Formats: sequence, C-alpha cells, structure tokens
Amino acid sequence: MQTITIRNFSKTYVKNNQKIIALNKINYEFIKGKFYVIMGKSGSGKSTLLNSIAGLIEGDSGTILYDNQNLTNTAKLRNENVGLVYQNFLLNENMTAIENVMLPTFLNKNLDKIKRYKKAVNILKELDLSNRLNHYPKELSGGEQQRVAVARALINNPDFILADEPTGNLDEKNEELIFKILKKLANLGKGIIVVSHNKAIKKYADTILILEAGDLHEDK
Amino acid sequence: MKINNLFTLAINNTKRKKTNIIFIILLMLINIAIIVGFSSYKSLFSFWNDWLDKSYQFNLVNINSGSEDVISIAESLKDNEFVRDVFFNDEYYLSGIASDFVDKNIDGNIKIIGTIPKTKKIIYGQDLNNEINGIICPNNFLPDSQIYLGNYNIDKVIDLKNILNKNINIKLMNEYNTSLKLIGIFDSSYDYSSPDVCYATHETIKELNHKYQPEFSKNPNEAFILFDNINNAEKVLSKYQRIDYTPVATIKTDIASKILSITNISTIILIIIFFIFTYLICSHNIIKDSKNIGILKICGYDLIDIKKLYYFEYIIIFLISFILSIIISLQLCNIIPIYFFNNNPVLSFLNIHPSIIIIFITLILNILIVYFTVKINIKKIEEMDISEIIYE
Repeated sequence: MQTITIRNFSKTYVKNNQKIIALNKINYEFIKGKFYVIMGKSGSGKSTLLNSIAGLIEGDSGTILYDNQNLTNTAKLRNENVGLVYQNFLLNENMTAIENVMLPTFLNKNLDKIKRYKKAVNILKELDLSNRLNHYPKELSGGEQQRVAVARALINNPDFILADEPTGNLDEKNEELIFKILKKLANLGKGIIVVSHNKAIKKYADTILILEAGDLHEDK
Repeated sequence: MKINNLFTLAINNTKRKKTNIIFIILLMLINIAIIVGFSSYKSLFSFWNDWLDKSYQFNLVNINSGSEDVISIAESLKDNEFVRDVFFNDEYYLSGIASDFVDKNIDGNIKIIGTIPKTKKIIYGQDLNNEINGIICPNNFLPDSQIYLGNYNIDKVIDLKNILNKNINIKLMNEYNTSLKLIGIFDSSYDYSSPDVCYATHETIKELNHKYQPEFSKNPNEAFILFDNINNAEKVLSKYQRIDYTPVATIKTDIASKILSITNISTIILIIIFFIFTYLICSHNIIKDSKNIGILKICGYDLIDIKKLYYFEYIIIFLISFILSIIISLQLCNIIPIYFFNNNPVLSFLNIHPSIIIIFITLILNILIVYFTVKINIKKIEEMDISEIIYE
C-alpha cells in the first residue's frame, strides 16, 4: 500500500445534546515513506482522525481510500497494512512481551509457531528488548512497554504506522528513543503518522499537519 | 484464524487470568452440587420405594374383629394371590437376649419373628424347614436394642458363619433360657431386614410361646397377613366389612417426602443460582476484559475471531470444571452414604448412584450457559465505542 487518501471526510459527535464537529470535510493524502505529525489542541479531533484512518471509527460522510480503494474489511487492514501504537501502550497484561508481539500473527495462516516466534524475537532484538522477551508488561518500564507496542505494530510488516501520542506517558529519554525508532522506520520506507502535541517531535517530521476546528492543513 | 492458533490463544488466556481459576473452582462446586444433589434424590427415591416394597414389616397387616372370629377369614385368605403368609398372634413374635453375644458394647437384645420358608434370600446354610428350634439370622447380625439410636456400626456386626449349624443361647422374655439352632444366614440387604431380628417358623414361635408363656394363648379375633405388597391390602381386605385392619408398621411418609422434596428443591435452586452466577461472572470477566478486546481489535481481529476466542476460552473453563466435577462427584457419591448413614442399619444399604442422565443434563446446562452468556456479553462489547475501550 502506497497511499492513504482522505476525501471530504467528516465526523460529528453529539455530547450533552450538542453537536461537536471533530472532522469537517477533510482532504489529505498520506504517502508511504514519509513521517507525518498531526498536531492540534486537546479535543481537536486528532485521535478521531487517526482511528478513522485505522478503520476503528466510521465517518459521517466522505471516504478514506487505501491505494485508491475503498476497503470494507478494516480488521484485515489493521492486521496487514496498518500498525497501531497508543499512548497507553495497550498491551495485554496477561501476556509476556513476546506473546504480545506475536498476537497479530495468529491471524496469519502461513506462519507456523516457530516462524512466528523467530519473527517476534528478531523485531524485539532490533528494538533492544532481547532480554525482555518473557517479561510481563508490569515488569517493563514505560519505554520498554512502548517499544513492545511498536514491535507488535511492526510484526506483520505494515506499510503505515499510526501512533497516537506514543510518547505521552514517557520520560524525555524514552520519548527521544521512540521518535528515533519511528524516524528510522520512515527512512526504511514506512509511512508514519503520529498524532502528538509534543513539539519535540517536529524535528523528525517530514510534514507537520495542524488539525483545528475540524480542518486539517499543513503547517507552513 | 486457524483452529490451533485459536486454541493456543484461548489456552493462554484461560490459564493466565486468575479470575478463571476462581471461576473454575466455583463452577466445579456448583456442578458437584447438581450432580450429587440430583443423584442423591434419585437414589433416595428408589431406595425408599424399594424399602417399602420389600421390607417384611411394611407389608404386614394386623386384622381384628371384636365380634367375629377371624380364623375363617384368615383361612380363606391363605390362597389369595396377593397374600404370602397368614398367622396368629401366638405364631408371630418372641423377644429375648442372645447371651452369647453380650459384651460392653452389645446388650444382646434380639427379636425372633415367625415366617414361612422362601421369604428370605439365604446366602449361607439352609432356609427354614420343619426343624423345630431352627432360626435364620441376617448377615449383618447385631443383637442390640440401641441399633437405631446410633449403636450400629459395620465393625460391630457379628460374623455368624463360624456358628452356623450351632446353637445360640437365648434368654427368652429375659427369663427363660433356651437354645435355638442357627440353620441359615440370609442377605439382609435383599429386604432391608433389621440386624437384631432373626426368623423362625410359626410352629417354632408358637411352641416356644406356649411353653414359656402358657397364659399367652391364641387370640381368635386377631390375625396377621403378610402381603406381597402393602398396596394390595386394601384391595383384598375391603370385601370383609366387619374387620378392621391396620398395618403393623407404618413409615412416616410425610417426613420422607419432605426430605425428598427438600433435596429436589435445593437442587433446583442450585441450578437457578448456577445460571445467575455463571452469567454474572461471565459478564464481569468479559466486560473487565474489554481492554484486551480493544487490543485484539487494533491487532486486526474481527468480531467473529474475538467471539470464537471467548467461546473457546469459556469452553475450556467449563470442560475443566465439568471433568473435575464428575471425578469429585463420583467420589462423593461413594463417600456420602458411608459418612452419613453408616450408623443406621437400614440407610447403610443406601447407595448413591451418579446418574448418567443428570451428568448429561449438567453438561447441556454448561454448554447452554457458555453459549448464551458469551453471546450476550460479546454483544455488549460490540456496542461499546472503541475509543471508550482503547482510551479507558
């Protein structure tokens, strides 16, 4: 998958009988191999946009095209083409690091137990977690947990990584480490879309997008 | 998703969640209660009916008439198809002390009842015959007046095989020493005979009664009828309008039916609790697991995969608890009668047989509850806003 194209995409929420426009006829095209940062105030709709791209939220109108195609099976999209990383890591507390990383591969019918394990070990090694394979999330630091989450997002070799405030719960050192990993992935050809209000990320971005009042535009 | 992958994930989920272990234990207890409860009810019910059907005393009726000689009536009943034995008061009963067996634990009290041959299942020696002074005794022989008051114990039972065909000394009516020959040992479990009761022919009882109690004479206005089944008594005796009849022993059927009803109702209540409890725990577990469901969603699992995973997980839980329940229930069915009824001469014959139907019903209940609770609760997750799950 080379591109994700958003066309006239709108999403409105109703809260306390009040209409809140999160996304208002947004148009944009994300290209593989670039590092995008979406910035904006809290509640500006950044997470809504990211989850809409991941197919987790349905819009009110408009379309999101993947390589100019309208996909109906969004679960398959998340499993094969898009990896997701969240601020709260979203790791299964009952699974070890390696089991968490292997989780998306159970849907792949072509991977047997050994291949699945080797693949997860390799990714965790690349992210400097080879000594944490059998640790449970609660036994890992925040930075390590987020790296496990990144490893899980990468296990099925997706074209795009979508990250929602990936450093929101991390200290500066780990924040930088995660940004560097994401940048490295962009350099390796993956499309990176990060939602953040952390200004430190700007230096890694190829394109900075601002979401305000439901409108998405590039930061000049 | 491949079935082995699904199985691996479900096994992992099942064993890692601490709540599942508690869940397995609690379900197991409920399943055991259902299996043992209903099996006990069924076994008690059969035991009860069998006891009433086979027991000598429950099929014996006393007929009497203040104005009419019942001898002719008794004679006419001898050939009745439902009547097994007809006899008079002086042929019925003796009591005494079997002095050979008296010790600090056994007071030797014994009853000797008159009967006809072929009413007992002889396992050693021979049945009653024309031999005067011959008696047959039960294989759980224990001559003691307190056997129904807690002094019965299988360890105290006297093994009569060694004294078969030998004389037993009995002090009749606590006064007259006599010797009776043990000619046979019968199986007491066959007709729930009491351990302190031996049997002799009517002729023997009559002779001993007349010998030692000359004043005790035949009452022409009273007779005893042993029916094949007490239910036939009414049918047979209703044509004799001038006589009164009363069963020699009546059992407190109201108490018995209350016990049976309580067992049954308790088990039904348990099943209802089982449904409510399982549903609540399942709901709690699934809702508590909403974060993990969100994780599965972001990893690309669709709702069908997630449903399958939860069905598998709960099937594993129920299978483990069900298998353990059966193993423990089988053991309990053996242990309960020994533990609770070993001190009662009659109830000690009770065996609780685990019913295959009940086990099957429990299995079906387990499957139904898994299906519906997972279905209902997954629907709740399905209706949840994904952002609520991810950002909780």
